[in-house]
Amino acid sequence: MEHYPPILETPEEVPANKYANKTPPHYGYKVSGVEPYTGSWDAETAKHLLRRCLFGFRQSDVDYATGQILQDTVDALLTNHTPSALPVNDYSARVSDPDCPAGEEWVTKAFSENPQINTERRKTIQSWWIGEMLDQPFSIQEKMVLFWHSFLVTELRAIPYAHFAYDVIAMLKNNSLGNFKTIIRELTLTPGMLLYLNGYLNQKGRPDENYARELFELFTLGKGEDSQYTEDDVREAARVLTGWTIDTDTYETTFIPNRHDTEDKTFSAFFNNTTIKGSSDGATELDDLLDMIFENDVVVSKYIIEKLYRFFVYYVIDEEIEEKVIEPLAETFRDNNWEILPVLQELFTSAHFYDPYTKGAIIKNPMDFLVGLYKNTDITFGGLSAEERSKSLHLTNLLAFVLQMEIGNPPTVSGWLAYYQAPQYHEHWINSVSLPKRNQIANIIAIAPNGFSQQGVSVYTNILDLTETIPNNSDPNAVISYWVDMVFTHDIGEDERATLKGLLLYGQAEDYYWTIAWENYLNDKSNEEYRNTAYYILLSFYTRLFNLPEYQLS
Amino acid sequence: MKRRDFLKTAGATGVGSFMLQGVPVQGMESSKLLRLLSSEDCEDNVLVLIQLTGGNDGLHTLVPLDMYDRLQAARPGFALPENDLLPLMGQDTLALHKKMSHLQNLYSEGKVTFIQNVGYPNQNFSHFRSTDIWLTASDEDVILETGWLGRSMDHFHPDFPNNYPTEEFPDPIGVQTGVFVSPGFLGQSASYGYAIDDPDFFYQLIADTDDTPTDTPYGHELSFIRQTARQSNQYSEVIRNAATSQENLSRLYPPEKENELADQMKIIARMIGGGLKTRIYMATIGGFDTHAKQIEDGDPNEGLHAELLHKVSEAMNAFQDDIQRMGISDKVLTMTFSEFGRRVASNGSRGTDHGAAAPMILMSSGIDGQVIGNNPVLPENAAWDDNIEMEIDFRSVYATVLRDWFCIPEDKIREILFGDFDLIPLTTGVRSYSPKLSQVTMFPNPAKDEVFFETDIKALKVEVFDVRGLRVSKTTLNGENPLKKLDIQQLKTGSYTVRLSYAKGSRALPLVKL
Repeated sequence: MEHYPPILETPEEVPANKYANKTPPHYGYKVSGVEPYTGSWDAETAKHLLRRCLFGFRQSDVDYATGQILQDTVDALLTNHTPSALPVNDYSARVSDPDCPAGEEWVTKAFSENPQINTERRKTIQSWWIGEMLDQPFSIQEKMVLFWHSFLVTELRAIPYAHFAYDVIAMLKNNSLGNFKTIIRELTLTPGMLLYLNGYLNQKGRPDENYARELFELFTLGKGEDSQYTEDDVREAARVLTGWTIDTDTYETTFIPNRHDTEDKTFSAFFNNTTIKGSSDGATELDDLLDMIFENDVVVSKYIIEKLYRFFVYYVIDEEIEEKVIEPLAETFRDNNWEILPVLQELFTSAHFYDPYTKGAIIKNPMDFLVGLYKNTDITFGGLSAEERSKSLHLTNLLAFVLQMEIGNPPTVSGWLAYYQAPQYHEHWINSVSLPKRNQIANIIAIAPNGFSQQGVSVYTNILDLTETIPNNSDPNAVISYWVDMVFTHDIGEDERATLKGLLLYGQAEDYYWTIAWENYLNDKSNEEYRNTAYYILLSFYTRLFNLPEYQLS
Repeated sequence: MKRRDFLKTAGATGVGSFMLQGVPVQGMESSKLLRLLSSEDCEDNVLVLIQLTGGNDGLHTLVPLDMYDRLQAARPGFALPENDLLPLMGQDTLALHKKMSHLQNLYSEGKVTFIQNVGYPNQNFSHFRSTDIWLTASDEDVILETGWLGRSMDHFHPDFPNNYPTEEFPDPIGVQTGVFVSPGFLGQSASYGYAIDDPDFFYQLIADTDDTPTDTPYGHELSFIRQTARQSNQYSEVIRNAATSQENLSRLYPPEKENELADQMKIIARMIGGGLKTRIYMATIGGFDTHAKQIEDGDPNEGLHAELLHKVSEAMNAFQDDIQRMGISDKVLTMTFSEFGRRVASNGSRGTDHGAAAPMILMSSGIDGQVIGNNPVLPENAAWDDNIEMEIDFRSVYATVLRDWFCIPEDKIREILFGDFDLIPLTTGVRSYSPKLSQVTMFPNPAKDEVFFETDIKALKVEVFDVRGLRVSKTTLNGENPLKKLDIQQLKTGSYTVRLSYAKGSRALPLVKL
């Protein structure tokens, strides 16, 4: 097999300690830049793209991707889709919602002043969100929503009105492939954010600098060495933002001029000593503030592109990658006036993205793990009513909570450690608590008919039916190859193949032990003994398959 | 003969009192001092860290009564009512938040030390940078990739994680309760932190092969996961054994899930009591970022912050009770920290914004409880950006813990903390705190062009911090002349804090520039 780009003769330096968290290696291979990828476009290459851009994939996705050229596949991925549904009332057993009957969508109904109803509604946002990931058509949209959410943080639990909480996520969804500066402006004034970072209380005289600080530090400029804003700048920005609040009659963001600081605001040399003219026009002052921030275009673009790179490629950025990948993409971002689409176009068609050393290097986040597992094991939540489906998806959210990635509720305003905490980054997802839990979840899902269950709802996969969908499933080697191709980024080696085969042959030596057991079952599914034999063989097989450390990589 | 045995013998043969390294020693057998001077015992010492995530409001934790009027003026309708504060025995000018009665009692029993105004020069107001600074023990403008706990453990375990667990160290070196391991545990080669959320849970992970070439990111990450799996298999067994052999003995813990910190401390107590040789534990409790609704409308004694302080106090108390009943409390030191304190003045949202220095709380039967450091100095008319000055560098606390609790030699501590930090008197008689500094006089104050220091310290380091905690000047005044002059012409009019330090300590003084 031909490597692209070619492997250099030997790794320049073998790491002294392979457990080092400080400088994980990516050497031994040439590092490509953003020049277009010209290597072969085959199933292997396509799967790498799909793993990074979707939450799990099916064989049909691979077929679709390889049925056309790379550029067309990327174009298809970079298309927004309309949400298939809205969050529904699945909570009627616990609280009666006078504005929204069971099974119906509450977003289009009236706001509620009842805290319990709002809590229940907020939970359904999470269920709906996970459903969107599971149902996503051939589109990067849901990955991009998670990308924005990972650093433009709000915590649903801290937004009392469910409608406002939904609006924040809907805004990220609508703009997921859009303009970053637009996102920041909308984020600043969306009621959910005004509530989350106290902007609604920010008024002249005693300003609250919570939002202003995070606007600089987390949302646009970062804390890198080139980001030299001062403490005074934070305070001046907080003054610019005074006066915005929420009208509790209309449930809309409103600007109250007499709560706004109408004096001039002056900024440091980092912002070219800009003065934002004080006035009673809060919207103009906000625009001036954002223009001033984005004037530091190199700082903003590099901060965002580095995040994007860590999210989609790998977390180590050295000087070479900085120069060959980060800087050109940042330039594209600037040249296109903060549109993200051209950046994604360039990244996913670049030679760098397909460099072999980036393959399999990302540790799946819990959403990728869970939703990917559903895709792999063909759990669709199909055939359920909207209400039942929402309840089932809520169960998924509980699992995600156990794995420390409750969607919509990052632990702090900084987001999840995996996306900002150097030097380990996404290694934070795996430790002695989370790894056993991931394995347990994979195991229990394979146990019919209960799987995970709560309040009469359960999530499980039928491993007998699942195995039936595999081509040539009477051949144990075909079954193993199918799964290795489907769920791992690299081949697993002869020893592990032998171990997996040993499970299918239940300890015997010849391939026909599996063939006979499986065909007995296929020919007479009502025979309980045949069924049990096949089931328990498969249970041990799938348990090992999804427990292999390799399964955690994307 | 080990020194400890000698002393025991000496005591038994009726030597009433004698001098040990210049310190008078009496009735030695159970003395804390004895334990501290006999380094063999250090091996069993355990450090339990409690991270208060978000930036704890020190002024609403440990309230300086001598500054109460200024505090009240800076926090109108917000400051804690003076009459409800809990007095600390023997302290006229300090009191605790109403919700910390457990800690008040523990202080009376001599088991709690408060260290005031802990921070670092040039306060960074970012949560994640400041948390990194505390966890890695770096200067404000330095980024380190290892944690202070990790580097300390590198001292004891230079080969970790190769071939760990070993026969000598069968247990995790560090334990984090919860799911995410703190970056503070990162050592030169790997993290010493091992996460536990349910000690009774055991799951056999696949970890039978580890021949991955690690020269690619894929290989590196795969190897990392396999290493985690292998360690988990080995460690979870010793953890389960520890959990099986030790129940919680205290009845002071609240019911499960009421107090997330107490739930974590329960696990830690069982692990220590169950005989794990783990040296460092870390628990975390979040929610201290109280920009809004820190207090309840109309009742400053209640609200988000009050609930959190109650949880901290309740959890620490139950834990202390538990380990006392287990008979192991002498070797356990519990210490809180937070990335920063909060602003002197409250904001308009019934909250406080990110600030600078704040107190740390230390608890153990093995220390002599006390208050270390001076009360914070609050400005007369606090502006919204006024901050509490750092008086004691947090690395001074770390250095002291490493020396007095882990018996790491001072030259090693210098390597671990990348510098020399003044030691503080965590334990009586070990080293006194800034003795000569207390005699320094500074005049005039307020001053216009220059201030003078009268002192016999030969090399007096002088740092000037503005109200936000930012250092605006630093210099060392050298010479035999007892009158030393500092030029302050360049300073803008306003109030400042002058930090004086020399080889043996530091002290902070307020200065007004006209």
